[in-house]
Amino acid sequence: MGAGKTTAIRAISDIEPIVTDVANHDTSVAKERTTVGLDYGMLSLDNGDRIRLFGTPGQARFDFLWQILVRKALGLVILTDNSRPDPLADLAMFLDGFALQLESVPCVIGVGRLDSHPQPTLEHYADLLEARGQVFPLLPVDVRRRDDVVLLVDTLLGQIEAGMQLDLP
Amino acid sequence: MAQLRLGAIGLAAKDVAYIRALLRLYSHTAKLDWVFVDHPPFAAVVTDRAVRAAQAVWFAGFNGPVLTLVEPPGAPEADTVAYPVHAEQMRTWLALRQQTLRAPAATAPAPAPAPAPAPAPAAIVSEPAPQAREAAAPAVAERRYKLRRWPSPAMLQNNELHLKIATLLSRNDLSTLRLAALTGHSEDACRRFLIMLHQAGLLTESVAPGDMPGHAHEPADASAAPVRNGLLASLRRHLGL
Amino acid sequence: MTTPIDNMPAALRETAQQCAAACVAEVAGIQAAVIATIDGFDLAAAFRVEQDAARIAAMASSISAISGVVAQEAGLGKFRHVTIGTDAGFAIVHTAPRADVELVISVIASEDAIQAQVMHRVAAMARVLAAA
Repeated sequence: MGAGKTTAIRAISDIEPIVTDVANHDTSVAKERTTVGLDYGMLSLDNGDRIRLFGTPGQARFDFLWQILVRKALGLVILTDNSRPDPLADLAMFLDGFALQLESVPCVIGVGRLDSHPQPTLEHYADLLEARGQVFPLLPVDVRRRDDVVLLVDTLLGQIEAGMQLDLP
Repeated sequence: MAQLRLGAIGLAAKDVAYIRALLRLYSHTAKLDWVFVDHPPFAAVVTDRAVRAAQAVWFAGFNGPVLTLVEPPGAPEADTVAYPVHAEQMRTWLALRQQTLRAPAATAPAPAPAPAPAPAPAAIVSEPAPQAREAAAPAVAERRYKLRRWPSPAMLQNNELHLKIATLLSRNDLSTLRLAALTGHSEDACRRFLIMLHQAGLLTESVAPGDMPGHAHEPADASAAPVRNGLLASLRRHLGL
Repeated sequence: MTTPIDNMPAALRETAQQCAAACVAEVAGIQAAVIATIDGFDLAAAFRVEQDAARIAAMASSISAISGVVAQEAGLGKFRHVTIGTDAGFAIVHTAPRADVELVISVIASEDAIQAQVMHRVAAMARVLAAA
């Protein structure tokens, strides 16, 4: 929660994103509003294709939406907020929530607010993934910067391309 | 049993460094028992044509196998490897020589006289013509690499190629040949980063049927790959990549 | 551990619980009534058939938010309620706006229930909660 999913989508979407954020009553999180449905953005490509961007609520109680929105997804970007009390636990929660999909859907992890909150480090994130037997790209990001969001997407595209090679004999 | 000692005679410093790193990479497998050394005695040596010619007397007195690095193109002779040094070919040569040297009738390596090192020739590192690569590549099982852990930012160095290679290896077991094809960079460049990853203990290795250079790989679902490729290329253009 | 609901006015929580309990007890066919905050925390719940109140609260919040977008995109004003018809009954999600905290009511009913009757009761509940 609060990792910047809506901001990230807004950074690259061709349309003004549709958002479903409402007043936040969870006092453990210093945010006025929170996404409870989904964020929706879109990219209209020159070949006529459209790429749909979905942002899901970050709280575990909305994990039913994660399963809906990840269906037939090309790839998954997990954003964490390093200023949260336990960002590694947050990541573990997402990895558990998307466990089935992560066996085949490409994924990139963006860690936000590392500049202001350097702990845990990216190596700690790598430790967590390694302990779970998983390897995903881990990138520091500031989702207010379009270039950072584009790098996340570019890396995800690299993951998608890498996945296509699995089809090779 | 003591490891077999491989030395380099008259090679450029960067070639020596590269071969040394390759042997360190191979040392993690049980099957290759070689160590790179700077001083004799040598069980085998690596050199190039010019040095071999210049140091003919020394080489005539050396009883061990000699691997000669040659410039492409052209099908290399026995005991030669074309530049740039193909890791797979080197490994094959070392494996064969190890077998020979450790066979019961093998002769012990001759004590090498202190050679007067010839000036190292200018190393020619170029991509051999495809025909030369195809002729030179042995049909052997090929080593493939996969990340077992994402590299640190210090290792990635904000380097686009490092990030590409790490991204590819996070999902797949790939050979250096395949990495070069996928990244559009030379095998040499890919191998350099692989060595860094290996030295940091971030790679796992597997062996798969060899990729013959120039062998076209078609995806199992031939229709999906071009469609996806078109979509991803279009998406990259859209994002200004 | 303090939850967001602990910070809600006690009077509101009491009223919400009474509404939910009465709804389930007095209207034939209603199996569950959950009253939640707009961001998906269950404030009160009553069941004829035991269900996961927290889950229903979260789903109601999502449905309410998505329905709100539909209403807005269609130029139909503010979202009020939606009915989900199923093989074996129906569910109603109804907003209950307040000045301090917007609420969402979920009622789950079997096919024995009369839809209009349930709708009437839920609307009445929303008015009570809005004024509480």
